[in-house]
Amino acid sequence: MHFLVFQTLNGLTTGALLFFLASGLTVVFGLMRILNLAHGALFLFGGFVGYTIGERTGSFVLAAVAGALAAGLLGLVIQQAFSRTLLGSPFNQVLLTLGIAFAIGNVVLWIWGGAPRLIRPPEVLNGSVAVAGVFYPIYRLFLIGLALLAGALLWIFWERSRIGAVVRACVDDRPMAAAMGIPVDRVFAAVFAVGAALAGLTGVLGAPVLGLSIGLEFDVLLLAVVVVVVGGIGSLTGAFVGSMAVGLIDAFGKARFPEISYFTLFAPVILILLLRPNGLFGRAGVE
Amino acid sequence: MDAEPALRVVGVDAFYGTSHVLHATTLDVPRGDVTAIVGPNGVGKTTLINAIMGLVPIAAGRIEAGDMDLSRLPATARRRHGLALVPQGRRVFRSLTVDEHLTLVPSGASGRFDRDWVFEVFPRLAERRSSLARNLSGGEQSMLAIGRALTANPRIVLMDEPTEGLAPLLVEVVRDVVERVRGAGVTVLLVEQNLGFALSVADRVAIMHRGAVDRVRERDAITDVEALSELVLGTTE
Ligand SMILES: Nc1ncnc2c1ncn2[C@@H]1O[C@H](COP(=O)(O)OP(=O)(O)O)[C@@H](O)[C@H]1O
Ligand SMILES: [Mg+2]
Repeated sequence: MHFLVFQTLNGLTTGALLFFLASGLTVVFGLMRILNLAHGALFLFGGFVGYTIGERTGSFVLAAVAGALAAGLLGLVIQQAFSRTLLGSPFNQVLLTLGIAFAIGNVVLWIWGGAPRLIRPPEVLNGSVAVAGVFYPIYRLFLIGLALLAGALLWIFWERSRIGAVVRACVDDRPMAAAMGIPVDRVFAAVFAVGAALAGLTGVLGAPVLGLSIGLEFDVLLLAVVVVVVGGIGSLTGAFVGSMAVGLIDAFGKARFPEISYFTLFAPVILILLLRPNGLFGRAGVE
Repeated sequence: MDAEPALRVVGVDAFYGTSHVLHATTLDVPRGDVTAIVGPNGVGKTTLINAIMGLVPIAAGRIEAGDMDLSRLPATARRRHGLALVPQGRRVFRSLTVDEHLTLVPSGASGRFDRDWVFEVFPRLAERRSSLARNLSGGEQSMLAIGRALTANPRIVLMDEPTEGLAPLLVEVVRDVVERVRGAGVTVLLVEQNLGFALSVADRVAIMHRGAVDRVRERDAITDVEALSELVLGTTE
């Protein structure tokens, strides 16, 4: 019983972090058909910027804001500089974004060195509380709650606001959106920047749990890509459900069968894709 | 008819890859009434309409609205210069509701065509205002595509086969809407396969052959509809 509760909470914590990461990735993919392989590197970069700001100011909130801003800005620069290549062939996208991922990793290494870092959670969220007989860190429970809140807010923004409708129109039919006077290029830039900012924010939020180390960017990227594919490309609901599912599968797999945790992660994923080739919430017609 | 046309297409060439679709197409669209483009399937009518809107790039020639050269402007900017498009195949935004389609762009304070106007001419859309476009019937989607273009309050509206696949009753409704739009002083450029519909709403008919407009007939000058029909289908030269 304790094992079950503990691993469930672990799974939801990972799921919460994955959701912050995957929501940006999936919306960018849905809108621009860009699989941004530098998404994990933006996560790491945001995390390290947050680490430095946190050390200087002692404020976790400032660290999170700085991490989000820095990654968002870097994302915007990348999108503006490479917009033509990014909208080009998938092969060019893969090469470009993977190259950018390695370049950012090297810059991080150069600025912050190779030693892993940790960001302490804010004072008020220190310690543990009992949940169904298990002592569990408050900060991790906070992350789960934050993901639920962010999921709800993102959903309302996406489904109910006028800007959400504008972005959805661009996803559905880019040329027709332009013919309606929507500045499609600016929508692209803004969405790309927001996705990058979410990645950077996740770097800071995740640092108390995952730490910050070179190489982490590709571990989280892999999981986020899995979430996007399982949830269905371009679907926020899919990103949420997929994140929690992947988080739980990962937690239980690692706890029960640590030697074959990749198998326990990917076997259900492959099964889901066999049953639903477009992912849980994807739709036919989106590649 | 005004001396200054609302829209001028001058010697436009367009390609899809290496396939040459528009060949030095030229067309003057007079201001404030209805011009219909007719011609056999695959002649390039949709390509011409999309080139005017900026959705298909042109390799040569010019597209002008008033004294404005639109040739190099993206579609977004052409919309701001008063063009709007009812595309072939409706192309409604599948994940937007009816309401969202009709409020997507600000109608402007003086805009006469707003959501309420659209609901008045297409009451069916008012009933389905909260439905996603992907759940609408074909006819409802056609109404929505027309309404969406009009809420932008264009000076020139391009309509590419707006009656395609519609029930006869709905064709009458669309005819009525085209007439009201014309009555409001908006220039209409209409592509029609349905020659009867074209002749009933248009002030003139432009006939396309082999990727270019090769003649324009004023409606009043058309007496022999059968001859015109043969001309359109290309059975006589
Ligand atoms: N996206 C496209 N790519 C390649 N060829 C196209 C495309 N769209 C249309 N065509 C071709 O261009 C020609 C003109 O098509 P179109 O403008 O749609 O004709 P119409 O509207 O008069 O039926 C046709 O031969 C058609 O096959
Ligand atoms: Mg056509």
